[in-house]
Amino acid sequence: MAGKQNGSHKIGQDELTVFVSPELEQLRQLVAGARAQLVELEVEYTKEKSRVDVVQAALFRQLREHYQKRDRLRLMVDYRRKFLDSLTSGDAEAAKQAEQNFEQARTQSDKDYEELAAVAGKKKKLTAEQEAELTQLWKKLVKLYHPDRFANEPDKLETFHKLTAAINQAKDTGDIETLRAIAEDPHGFILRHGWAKLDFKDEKELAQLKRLHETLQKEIAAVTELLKDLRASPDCELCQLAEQKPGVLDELAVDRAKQLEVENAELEKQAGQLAIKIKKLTNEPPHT
Amino acid sequence: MFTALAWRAVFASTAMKKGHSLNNGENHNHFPLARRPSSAVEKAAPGAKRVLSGMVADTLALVKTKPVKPVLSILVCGGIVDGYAELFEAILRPYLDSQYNLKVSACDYAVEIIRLAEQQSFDLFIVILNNVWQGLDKIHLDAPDGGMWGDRIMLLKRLKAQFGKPIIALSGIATIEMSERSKQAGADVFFPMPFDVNEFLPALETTLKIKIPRDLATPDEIISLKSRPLNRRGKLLVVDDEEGVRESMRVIFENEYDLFMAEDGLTAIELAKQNDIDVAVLDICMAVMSGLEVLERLKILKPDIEVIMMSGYGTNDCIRESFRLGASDYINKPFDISTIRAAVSKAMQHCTLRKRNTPKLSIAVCGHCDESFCEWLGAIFHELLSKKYTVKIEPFIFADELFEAAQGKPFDLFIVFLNPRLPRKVDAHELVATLKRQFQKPILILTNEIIYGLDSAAGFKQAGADAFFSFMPPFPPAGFKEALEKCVSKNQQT
Repeated sequence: MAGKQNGSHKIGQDELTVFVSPELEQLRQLVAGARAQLVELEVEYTKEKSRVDVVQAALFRQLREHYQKRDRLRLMVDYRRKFLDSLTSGDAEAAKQAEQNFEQARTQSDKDYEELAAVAGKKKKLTAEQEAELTQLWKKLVKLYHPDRFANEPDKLETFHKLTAAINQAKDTGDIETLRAIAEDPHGFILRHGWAKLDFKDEKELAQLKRLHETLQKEIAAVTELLKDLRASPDCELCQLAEQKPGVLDELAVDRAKQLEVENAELEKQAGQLAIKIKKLTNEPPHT
Repeated sequence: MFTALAWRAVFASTAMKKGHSLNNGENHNHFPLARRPSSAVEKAAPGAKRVLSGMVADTLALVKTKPVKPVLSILVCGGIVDGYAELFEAILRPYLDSQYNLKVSACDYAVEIIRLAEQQSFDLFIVILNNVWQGLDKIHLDAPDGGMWGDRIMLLKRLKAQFGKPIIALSGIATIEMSERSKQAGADVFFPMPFDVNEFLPALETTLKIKIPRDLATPDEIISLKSRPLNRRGKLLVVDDEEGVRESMRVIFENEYDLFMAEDGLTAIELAKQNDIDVAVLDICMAVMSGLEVLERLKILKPDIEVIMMSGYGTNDCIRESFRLGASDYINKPFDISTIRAAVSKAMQHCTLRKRNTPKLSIAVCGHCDESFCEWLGAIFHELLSKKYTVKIEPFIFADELFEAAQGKPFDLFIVFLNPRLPRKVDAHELVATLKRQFQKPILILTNEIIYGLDSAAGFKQAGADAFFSFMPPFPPAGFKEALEKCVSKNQQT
């Protein structure tokens, strides 16, 4: 269709104009703008989260031993108290239950620490190259956010959930390798995981583009909220402190370790006293 | 032009940021995004998350109860040997400890300095301009030696340009020109060394814009650079075959330095052997032995001697050769008094600074009587130890002489030379064992394989030797440098 219209494109000098729906064109621009905004936010969040995690991991490595000991002692003191209570009230069933609970809680606690240690061991500061690379990665990744085009195809919708979950997890754990793998070849990633195929082409229909834009807006709002929460979190406060004053984290950890040593000594004393009482009652040393 | 839809989209985004939902029923099957939080830790183990947040909260609580002193980090750049960080820390800590968490680091390599400063932020740089006149503009930061001896003025410029932090420059060469040059390059303050803490503190206050309490009684443990004055006059050797020159030098310098005069090279070398000469002024054109030859032999004899060459008709080749052989300056004859005064005083300052900074390494060689051999060995050791030490080697033929000498003055290292030509008064194994037992110093054995095969190393090591090397050419053999360094560092630890 020739002739000047709103939202038409001029091509070359021969005044050929191609009709484009004005709304569609503007919506495309809005989508592009939203994507750029989302990229910026995602990059910022990934960087910030990674920094916070590195500091947390460092703190964990320094204090793990003390905290784990404290938690074990607390559980033990708690268990011995309950055990003693049930013994004095003559409730053998409750005593047994307390023992079981203690066993369970201790296993869980040790598991928690093991898990954290595994995560903390992997945390590394992002290099300058990685930080620069993040923008490129997110530019590609943001294109993968899609509206409900899969709404009527349950298997594809499930795949899409899995994909976004994988992206989010990689982002939260600072797993730049996974982000890279997805960004470079999303289809390959999906296939490798044995998920159903997805089509990431931008929509041409007005209604679909509208939904795409709204999805992006939602995502922007979500990431903004996340970033705000992260920045307001004590984790971030500690991270800022550590960055402002090098060495402060080590000092704090040493001080905290000293406090914990005192606390642990007190707990050990309590546990010992309870053990004596239990032994008096049962003629057997308590379960450790 | 905004369409209704566009406006709606903008509104939607602001509304959503405010937490309102725009989906008033019409889009209830709106695409559901995978909601966060989805962190592995949070998902997998709420217990683990609790542990972590507990740690963070406890640590932060600690910060709030205890005022954390701000960190004041200082990088001391340059200085020939380590120990500058400790020195400045000892000087400044008593004053700054109540208010600041003082962190002092030191680094000698220019490239390393820049890398360090890029990695961690320093509040102040203290740059020691110790060898600024040597290699000026010749060696740059990207030189293959890592810029170790790079021009410190260039370093000053680079530090100022890149980091913009306050810089205090210190130098043993306390000239106005030096002060001006360092200030032009970016130093905020220039201090001649040795400096007085009472003058240093106000400078620190102005450059760092901090207030340092002064009311504390000066603690005894403060090491003041000033408390290490030069307690001896410098020793100057003048070598010239012209009587007139020697006389005028005597008039110029006799009140300042201990003077030694020689009319030829051989006398000069003899004088240098007997006296601890700091600076020598050598005429190039002399009968018997040329100035260049004397220079070469003096440098082998005493690697840290400062030599100023002078000549009435020096060619470019001659000047170049002088510098190649290690001369520190070159003066044309006839000279005016101020020129020669400045040159000698600069060389003296270099010498005292180097003496103050260079630890001495005293080595006894047992089993070899040749003095020239010891000179040669000393020069090799000096090179091998990267010129970090003033090496002094003393020869002993007989073991009892060695023991007698070692009682009086401590040697840092013993070298037992298993020389087949010399009469052996004691069994070498026994000598090594006794040396080790009595002095507990590192022992290095050099051997000629004709008598002692390298397989006898185990026996000597059992007797107490730290290293065992063949003395067959080429010398030094592979691994000798490392063994020597190990011996020296072991000795420093003890």
